[in-house]
Amino acid sequence: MSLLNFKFGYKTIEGTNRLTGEPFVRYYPFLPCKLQSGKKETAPTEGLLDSGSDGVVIPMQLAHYLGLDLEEASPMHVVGRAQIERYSSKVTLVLGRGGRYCTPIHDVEVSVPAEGDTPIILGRDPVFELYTVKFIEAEKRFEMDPYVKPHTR
Amino acid sequence: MGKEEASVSMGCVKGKEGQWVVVRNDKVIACGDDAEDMFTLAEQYPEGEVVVTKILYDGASFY
Repeated sequence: MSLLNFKFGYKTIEGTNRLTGEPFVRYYPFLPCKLQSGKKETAPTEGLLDSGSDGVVIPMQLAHYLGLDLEEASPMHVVGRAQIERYSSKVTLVLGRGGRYCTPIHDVEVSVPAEGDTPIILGRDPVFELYTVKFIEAEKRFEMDPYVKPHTR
Repeated sequence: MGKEEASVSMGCVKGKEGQWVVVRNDKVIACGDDAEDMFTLAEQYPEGEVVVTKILYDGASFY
């Protein structure tokens, strides 16, 4: 598998607080990617890098777009909330953008919540398994280098 | 929203947790609650020109 190193700035979102009218700026570590099924491929998109998530999560509408076969899975456990029903499936994940893409990562398990409208969430499996990810929060950017197993004697 | 490339301001982006948008050449050309609609719309444009992403609201939380 050919993995590339990546450096991206956080996505900047400017808006206005709907209650107070105060302007705000928020920054999010979105990683450019594409998702593929055996039937379709998404346009270039972005997933929220989330080390607190076990794996990849996608919204139900995206699962429909890709034509994924959904299997019932054990509910998701969410802090402070009741369990959320979910389905699971598999996709091919391609990281990168602008013609600079890593080798497709096949058979990536995705969770598809039955409710809510999650963004694409890229959790530890497989992204943090394959990459050393460094968040430079003070500079609103992140770097990813393919993980290299240290030599042992 | 159809294919016409009206610029969409962030002020019109509404939703419980945020909203899906199609960005073409750094301009938001469509927004909606349904990711499937946005990815379908993006098919009409060359891959190198569009990105489909989600604008998150301040305070939105996920799983």
